[in-house]
Amino acid sequence: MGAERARYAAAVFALAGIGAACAVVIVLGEILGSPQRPWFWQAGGAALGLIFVVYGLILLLLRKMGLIGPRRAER
Amino acid sequence: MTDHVPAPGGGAPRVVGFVCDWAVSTAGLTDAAGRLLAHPSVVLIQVPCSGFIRPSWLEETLRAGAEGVFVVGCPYGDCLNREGNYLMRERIEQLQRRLQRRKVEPERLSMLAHGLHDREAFLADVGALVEALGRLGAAAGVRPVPPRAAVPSAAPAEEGNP
Amino acid sequence: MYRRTLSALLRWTLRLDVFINRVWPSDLNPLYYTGGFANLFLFILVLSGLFIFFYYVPSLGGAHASVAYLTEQVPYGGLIRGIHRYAADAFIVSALLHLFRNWFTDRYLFSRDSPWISGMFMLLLGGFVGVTGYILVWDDRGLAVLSVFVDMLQSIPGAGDSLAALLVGGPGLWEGTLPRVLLLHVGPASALYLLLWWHYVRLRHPKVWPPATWVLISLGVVTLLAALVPAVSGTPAVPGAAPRAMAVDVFFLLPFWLAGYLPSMVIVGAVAVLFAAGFVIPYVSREPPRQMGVRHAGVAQVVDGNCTGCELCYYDCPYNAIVMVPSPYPGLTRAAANRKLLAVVIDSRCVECGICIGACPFEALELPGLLEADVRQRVAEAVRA
Repeated sequence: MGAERARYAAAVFALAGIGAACAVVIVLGEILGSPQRPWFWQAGGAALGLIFVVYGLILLLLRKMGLIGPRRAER
Repeated sequence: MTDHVPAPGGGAPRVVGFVCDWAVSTAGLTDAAGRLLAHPSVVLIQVPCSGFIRPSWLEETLRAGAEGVFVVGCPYGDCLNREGNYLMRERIEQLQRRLQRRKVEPERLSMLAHGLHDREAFLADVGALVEALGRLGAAAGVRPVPPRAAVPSAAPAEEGNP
Repeated sequence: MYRRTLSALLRWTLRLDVFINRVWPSDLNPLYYTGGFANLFLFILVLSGLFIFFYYVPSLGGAHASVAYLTEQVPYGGLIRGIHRYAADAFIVSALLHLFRNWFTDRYLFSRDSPWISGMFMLLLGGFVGVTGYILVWDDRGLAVLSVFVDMLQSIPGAGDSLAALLVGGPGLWEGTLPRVLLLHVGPASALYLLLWWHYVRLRHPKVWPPATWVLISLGVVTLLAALVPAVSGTPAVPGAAPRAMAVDVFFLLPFWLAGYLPSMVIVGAVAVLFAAGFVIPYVSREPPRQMGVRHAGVAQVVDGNCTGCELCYYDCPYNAIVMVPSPYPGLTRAAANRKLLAVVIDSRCVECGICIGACPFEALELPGLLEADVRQRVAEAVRA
């Protein structure tokens, strides 16, 4: 694997880690916290937003690595 | 119509390029006859959209004596007419497969995608193409253009509604 | 002057593309999907709006409290409200980017004025829907916006008073006002989908959605914003109270902020002039037809004798300008003699791009200004050079 691809792969793993952490935050919060705390919903919303952004960036990086997408567009 | 012109021995490969009106701007890059100043063996022809080109014209260009032919369209996703460059890319791939049966190397046909200001990238691509074609030599498997009389359906086409 | 400015803007628009295309593969460039983004945000608005609709109470006494209940008591209610707010801004931003990009790159010529006009209507309606949204919150800002809007409408000579009455649901503020404003919020928003049908009707394979990467990133950014910068209401509206300084959403409320400094009639006039100018753009092309060169090669012509009815041109035309009709008579060539269908070009829809010429394997289509014979001649000259 080239150095650039290695860097992309490392970034994908890092982003996936962030996404997993956000998911854990939401689940733990729901289990532990009482449902009447508006600030928790905002925090949960931020975690949700972050999950979407991370997912989108992972797809972008996978595309740049050539693992998904119509490869011929990069010809 | 021209007969099959033998390739100049040892000279730069003759290449014809079809440039779409909205792709890379060639003002200042060519002389009056359409020859690229940076690569004088490359001649450019302007067309309204990269999708305008019939694959038969590309084949004919090779038959007429060019060593290579390319089409330049807008960047994928930004065709002014929305799909022209994607359609042309598919047609070129089909033509490459068809010509491979007659032993014409697929590298002789290329689809490039460059935006209005992508001049350096365009010139770099053309340079790489010229170099690769120089190593290939003259087009071997392409038959010379037969005389006009043997192609009857083309004649009424020319007299069709203008 | 107009032409030179536009040419400069075109250059800068496309130079920006060169930078973006170095980072992203070009078919993921977000600027190529500005229309898709607007559609995406409209969809997000509809879904979040539906959620809010179930909690909203359109009465002078209950509106503000119902919004507060949604924001503070309903799980994730404040988040959905924030998403609705920021998606609205994002919708207007995308629509404006779409307008400017298609303006600078001449994508309104010939029959493409149809999507342009429908797009201008959508921008107008979208702005109106956003303003009514701010009124519905019925806080002090909402009341101020309503008052200024009524003022502006009344300043229109002739129809002014009736228009104001339409907005408020009567001669003055009363219990029926908020239900009326709610109707004017939801109704035009639904009408946007009708206009969207008009917008797409002349296009084949319109880019309705951005690529998946961008759908996710946009959704994520809107959600993040809603979470980090929550949308809040001001104090409940008290009709007759003096207006105070308040935050202005520049995408929707700019004219209302200006009303503090300029007379209403001037603002209404300026908005009217701006939109009128927008509608006229497709008819004020940058170049006279003679200078358009190969781009104005004439409407595609079918060469009846050669057409075999293979439908390849019909599938390839990006503007649905070719239709297949049952062939009234057989063609001239052997391949065309047994045809069942004949291709017909609809002149008003043709933008003279020539893609059908490239698609036809039977030499049955020509552009009058650039015939096959012309192309062959240029190829011959090029090879001889």
